[in-house]
Amino acid sequence: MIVADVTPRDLRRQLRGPGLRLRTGPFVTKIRSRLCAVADGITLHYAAHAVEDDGGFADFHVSVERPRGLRRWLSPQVEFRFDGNPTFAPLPGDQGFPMLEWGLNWCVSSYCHQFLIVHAAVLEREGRALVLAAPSGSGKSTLCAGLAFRGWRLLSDELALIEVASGQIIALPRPISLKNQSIDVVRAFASQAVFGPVVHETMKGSVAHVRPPFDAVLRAAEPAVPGWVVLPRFAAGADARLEPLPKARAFMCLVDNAFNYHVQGRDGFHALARLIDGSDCYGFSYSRLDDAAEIFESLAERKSDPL
Amino acid sequence: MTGSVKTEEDAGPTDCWQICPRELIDWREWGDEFVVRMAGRAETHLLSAAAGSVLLAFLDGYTSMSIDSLFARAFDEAQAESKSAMSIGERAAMQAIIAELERLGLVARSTA
Repeated sequence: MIVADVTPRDLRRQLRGPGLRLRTGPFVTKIRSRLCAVADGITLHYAAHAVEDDGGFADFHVSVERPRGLRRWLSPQVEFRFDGNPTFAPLPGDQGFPMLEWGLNWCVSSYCHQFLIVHAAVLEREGRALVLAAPSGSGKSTLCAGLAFRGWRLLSDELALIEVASGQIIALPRPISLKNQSIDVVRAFASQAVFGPVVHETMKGSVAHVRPPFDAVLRAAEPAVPGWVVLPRFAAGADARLEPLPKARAFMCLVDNAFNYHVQGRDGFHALARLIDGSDCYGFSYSRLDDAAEIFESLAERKSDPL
Repeated sequence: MTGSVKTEEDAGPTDCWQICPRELIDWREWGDEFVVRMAGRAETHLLSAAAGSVLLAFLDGYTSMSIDSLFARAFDEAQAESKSAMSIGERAAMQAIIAELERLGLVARSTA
């Protein structure tokens, strides 16, 4: 069963009661919430994701609720809890769904050390992964959203999950988080993209999520092998430029953007080295998504030999 | 300068360095650059081709090497046989590389 098969009433009943067991890639999260914004966000953004049976195993047990106390009536807030414990400071009351998304990212990056996890978007063509590694604010999610609606399969907008033993990159297709100007940029670029409401004055500015393409969710069990590692950078007004990047520097960039490289020890070093070995590495600056899509299309065509 | 701590500036021809335990080091070379991970510090560093060559000379199996033998081993085997001296510039560059490797904890001044 997928979320779209669950009636809105039953979805709310599960969220308010025993919890909704939502599968995202290799993980199952039991989510509880009484907030309409969370129920609506899950209905919209996770429509194609599987709902697991009650009573099954869940990797994470989380909730997004209003904190108790008088303040909930005067100045409503929302609070993310992991295993029943508050994890972050509460946020303004209209940020329930963004807080769920940030909380889920935190769960994976903090606990899932069976993977080497890099702060990167990942897309796929012909079985090969395009890893867009960069810190926040570099235009990574904008580029990711653009490519996800131009022939690339979305593996993840935020977290590259590298299986240490095999070197494969595991899909974790979830909503793409866009900020500020990038919301309108992607809206104009991809008319088929489904957006949730824009939430203003978050810690990242104005935020909106884009529903992952259905095909990406349905193919979430298909991993990808390394293909390209690209360090994107949005440069206002600049022409799109893709330039080869020395592999050792690309390696160091992945180290800098990894969440748990230090936890993985020697295995992490060799897993990243294998990713770099199998990838063509580039730096990429851009200002227009159309130019970027064209460049990445030709990049894919140049490497179109069967695996 | 106080005490007996030496810096690269006062490294003499008889001074020797040794590499930290080899099992603590992982390295890879791509093109003309190296990355090296040192388990003892859980750190990973980018090294230039020259620094990487010096590191490989250490890893080749010698327990302790002077700056001259390192230079010869890393860059010029023929020079080692003829025992011709490094230029001033080459010596300064070698000293800087060794100081950097020392700072990163990859090599230490030998007490032998």
